[in-house]
Amino acid sequence: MNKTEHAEVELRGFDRHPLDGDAKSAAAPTDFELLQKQVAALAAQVKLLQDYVAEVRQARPDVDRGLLEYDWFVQRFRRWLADILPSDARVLVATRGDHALLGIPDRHAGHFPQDDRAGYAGFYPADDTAAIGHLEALRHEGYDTLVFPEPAAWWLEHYTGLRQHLESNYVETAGHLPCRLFDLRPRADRPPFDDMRLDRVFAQARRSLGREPDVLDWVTGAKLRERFPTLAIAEFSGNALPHIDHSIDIVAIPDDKPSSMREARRVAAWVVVVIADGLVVKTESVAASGPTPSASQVTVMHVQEPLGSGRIVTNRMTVDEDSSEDVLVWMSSGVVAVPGAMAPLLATLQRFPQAGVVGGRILEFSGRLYHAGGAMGVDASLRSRGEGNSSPDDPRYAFVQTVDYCSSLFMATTRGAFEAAGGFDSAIPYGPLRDADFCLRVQDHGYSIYYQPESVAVCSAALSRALRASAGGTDLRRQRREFAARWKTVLQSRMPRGDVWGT
Amino acid sequence: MKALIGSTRMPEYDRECGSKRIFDVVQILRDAGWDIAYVARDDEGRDRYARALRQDGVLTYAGFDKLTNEFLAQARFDIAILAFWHVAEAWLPRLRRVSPATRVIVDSIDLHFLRSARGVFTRPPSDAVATALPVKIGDEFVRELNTYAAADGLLAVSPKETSLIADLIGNPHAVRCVPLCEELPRSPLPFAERRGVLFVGNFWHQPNVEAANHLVSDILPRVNPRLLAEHPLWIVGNASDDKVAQLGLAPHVHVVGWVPSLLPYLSRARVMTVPLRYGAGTKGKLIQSLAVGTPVVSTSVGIEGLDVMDARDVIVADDAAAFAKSIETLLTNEEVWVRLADRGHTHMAANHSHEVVKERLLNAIEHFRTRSHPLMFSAPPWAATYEQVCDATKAAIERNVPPGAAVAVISKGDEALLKLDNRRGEHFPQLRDGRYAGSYPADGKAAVKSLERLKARGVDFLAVPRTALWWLDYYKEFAAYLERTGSPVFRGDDCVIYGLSAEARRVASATTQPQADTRRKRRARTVPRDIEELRPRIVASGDALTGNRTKPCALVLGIYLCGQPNNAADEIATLRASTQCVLDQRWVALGGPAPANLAEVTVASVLEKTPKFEILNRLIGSVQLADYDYLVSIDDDIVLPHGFLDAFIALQQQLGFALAQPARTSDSYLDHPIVEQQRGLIARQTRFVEIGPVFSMHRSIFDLLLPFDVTSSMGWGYENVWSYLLQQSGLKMGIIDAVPVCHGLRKSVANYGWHQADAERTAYWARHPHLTLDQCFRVTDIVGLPEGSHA
Repeated sequence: MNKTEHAEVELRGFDRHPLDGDAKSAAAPTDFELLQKQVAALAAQVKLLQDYVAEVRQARPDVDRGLLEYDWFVQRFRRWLADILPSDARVLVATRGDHALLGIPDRHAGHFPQDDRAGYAGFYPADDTAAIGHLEALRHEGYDTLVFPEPAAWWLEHYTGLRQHLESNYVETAGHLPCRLFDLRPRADRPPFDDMRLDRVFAQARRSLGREPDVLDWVTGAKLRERFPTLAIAEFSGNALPHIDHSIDIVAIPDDKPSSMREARRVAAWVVVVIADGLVVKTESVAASGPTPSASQVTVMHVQEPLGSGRIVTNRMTVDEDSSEDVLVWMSSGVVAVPGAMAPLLATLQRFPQAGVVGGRILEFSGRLYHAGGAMGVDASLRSRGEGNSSPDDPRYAFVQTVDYCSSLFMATTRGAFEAAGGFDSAIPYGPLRDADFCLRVQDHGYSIYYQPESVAVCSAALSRALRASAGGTDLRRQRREFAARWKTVLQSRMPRGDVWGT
Repeated sequence: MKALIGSTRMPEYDRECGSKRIFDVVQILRDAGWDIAYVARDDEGRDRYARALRQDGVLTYAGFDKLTNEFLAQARFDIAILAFWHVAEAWLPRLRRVSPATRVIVDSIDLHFLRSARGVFTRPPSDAVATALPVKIGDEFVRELNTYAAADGLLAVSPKETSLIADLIGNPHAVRCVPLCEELPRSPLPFAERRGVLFVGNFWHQPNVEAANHLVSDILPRVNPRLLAEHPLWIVGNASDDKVAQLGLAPHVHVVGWVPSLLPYLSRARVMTVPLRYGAGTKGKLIQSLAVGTPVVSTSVGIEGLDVMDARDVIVADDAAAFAKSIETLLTNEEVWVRLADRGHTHMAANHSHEVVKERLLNAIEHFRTRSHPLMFSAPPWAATYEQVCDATKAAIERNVPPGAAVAVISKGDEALLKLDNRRGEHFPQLRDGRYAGSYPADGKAAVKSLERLKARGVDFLAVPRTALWWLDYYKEFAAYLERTGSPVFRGDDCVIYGLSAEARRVASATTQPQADTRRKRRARTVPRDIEELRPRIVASGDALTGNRTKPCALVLGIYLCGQPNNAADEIATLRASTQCVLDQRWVALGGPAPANLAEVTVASVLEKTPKFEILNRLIGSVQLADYDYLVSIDDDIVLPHGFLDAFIALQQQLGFALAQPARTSDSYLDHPIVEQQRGLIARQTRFVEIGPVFSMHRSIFDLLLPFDVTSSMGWGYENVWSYLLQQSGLKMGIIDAVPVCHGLRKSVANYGWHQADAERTAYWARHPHLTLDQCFRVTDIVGLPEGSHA
């Protein structure tokens, strides 16, 4: 066994978390003993690394020391991942294009970010939304683990939104790792289409109170203000609350000790929430209008029938007379809703009574913007706002606004608007024209079309390719002519919204 | 209609009154159908408030620098409402220059000079703080008033401040009163169900800190303790620090800190207190309290600017004993309490409701939009070339003023004009601390006086850019003074430079003479001392070219800018060290004669400003291209790694790239993320190679791409066409990561106009089939470093 191999054997033992595997059966060591072991192992590593560098440099004096160290790191990284990951794991690695980092024995590993043919993307995501969208698209492709090797740890500092997304939705594997590793599989303790129970409490409060709830975080340690930066959250750390009775909607406390509960009940106007280890363990209503199931119902319409030009379309839909859905959310197959995308769509319909359709911010597989609402010209020309913009967080696409039309790749309609408009017209195979036609009919009935940037969805690699390929169908010209003829009078008589901010 | 609204931060409407005011203005305009862009000076704001705006349909930018001049010009804002004078002071010059048709309205919120002065004069004599106004406050007063006078309109929150500003700037038509807005529901709780005394304040604001101290230390001890036990004091507000928290140690005092909603406190307290001893503007807390129907005890300062009267709407008490007595009265006398609650609520509904404020605000805006103003002007004829005037002025200064000298520039506040190589630039006119004065001198005499002050401080030259030549017509005395005591050392189309003393003129004259030694020294300074620190390293080389049958011939074409910092000398020396290529370097000096150290490789000097690709076409036309294997175009603002040419050409040859560029190091200016060096890679085959700072063409594409079509003379859009042509021809192109260059000296588009280049690109694309940028930004293959070696 040469020195390198010996070092790897040592490292495998060292890298394993002391509480994992065999270590669990042994008597639990004290913190000090653990620390001693870690220091000793670290010293051994340094020694081995020094020997390794010296050995290689002797053989190849031209080799740069920094590169040698990096080479050492790569070997160690791959060995460690092979050791810890299950054999069926599909791993994303922030490689910066270095194939060497993907060589994890017997595991499928891919670049992060990557292009739609799984090669290295060649550039970093422009912003948080691009990074999150791309990650979710890759999850959809089957990747279940995300790894940031040590040299790429800056990602989590730079892309703070991505970090929050990962921490909120996935589990980070702890340990003495040469990297940060996130398990991207859905968390068992969280229901689908809802980030966490606390989110649900807030959503219910929103519905019940008709506004954003006020929150008091009384030493829960859950960093609520950081995790929910869009809510008004006061913090207090004293033993007794100085607040007057029933003055804050939601009071969050770390345990249900009688004294804490009593004080929280006194101050809360709507509900007391007990949060332990970051998760809601108890809610207690203090008002008649406390958490209750939602009155409205939502149906997600997965649109699957690809027709004609390669775009995803649906037949003319009519809602079943007996169904009780208030809201229909349209989501094409191949479109992935980023966690937290549903609530803003629904909230927008609720907030603006005249809203008939609300569309989300739709990204390509790469994280680039694909659709931020559509603009229609007087000549019936259509333009997908922001298409191709590498920075989906560009302020011009980050605020709620009325638009001419939305894409049915991901949008919500009220039952009333959908019925009034008579559904989609399946005689129009080209998606954007069909969507625009539907939205014009919705507007004909007095509704408005809104764009909600907080509802983010991303297209899979296959769908992204299909969308690009479908840019010019064989009979598109005919469809455009017919569309223009149908809406000529309406388009010429209305005040064009125009391109207010140069989007 | 479009409005730009600017302030120091995102409007934290539930934390402080000034922010609430801005938030109300945004909402009123939005409800009235305006499209609104909001820009906050601070780029780190609370996300919640930015989100609130975005969800209300407002385009938001955090950080003034995020708003580009292009956006400002294209957006064509009808109005800009800038909150606080210091925000307006920073923005006015830029808005005037970039968007001259935009009417600029300053919302004073409160008069800062008034608050500052009172903060000094109203302190008790025993305070250790000086009781005379410091000069700093005087300077700020001048700047504040100058800013108000330079705006197209002003908003004040009270009739009193409206009148004061109008008097001071001598223009009653320029100011309109738009009061603070409060639309809180009246509390349904009667006297018997109210409990407690309330103090509300944002503790970032020093008057509130002092008022809370005054209340707890001087007033509360005079209140009947039994009453206080029944009605404790709640201190509520943003940013309560440890000092404020200490107040909670007093009996019957609760320091709550910030709460998301004040309404529960306002509607359940029996008495609101406003014990302010100084301040300005109107007090939002007083308005809120009266709107809810909670009677108020206030000092005279607290009710300032509001049309409320002692005993009719509120109780006014200016000393501690009377204040304490008034609190007791309102805690115990139901009849007085009910009368004041009713009256206060009615008064606020009539003067501060949403509808009232909305009407006043929209009327004021309409007034300012339609009123002619002496400062309003349409876009001046030179607006499109302002950048060129600046550049020419700076170049003239550097040519005609000796290094180390101080030059005053009639700058109109533009800092860019003062960024001079090795000379000290000073604003003219300026304040004592050197900042731009913010206004023009009142007359020629004042201008002369200002200049003399600068002369006394060692300023020997005055530069008058073309945009300020009107000074010499308008300020006759000033022009005569310059003729009498100074004389021009340079007079050109774009600027005039005066030497203000005989000595200055003599030195300038010596400077402008062509002394080779001086020039060499100046050139030498243009290469940064730490160039070696910037120098990138080659990560991997191709196989040695010496193994080839013959050495490849490389034609290197470069352009360097005279009179500007550049790295040409270093680049030339680095290229010259090539041992494996037959090298022919041909450089052009742009904007001046070639310096001696570069003369050997300089084949021409071009004095007129000429686009890069026109010059390259001329150079290409002067050689037999067929004699060369590679054509390398190189800019003068990069740092090359040692051994660049040999390593780069070797790799380009081995990879079969017909068109290639080196990657840019991560510390470079990066126009496109794809060109950043990727570690662990030798190269990436792409559909994108940029037009600079370095690109290399293999002879196989000379006929395909050359000569350059100078429809786009700065080369914008070439990448898209090149990419298309190579794709059609089945040729490869790529970015070589292993041989990077550092592009850190100048940003792109630093020496020509964005608009013109953009327009040319559009015309160019119309003439040539091309790929979209999205299609170009593709990596189609990568070549990694050999595993294990990485060297």
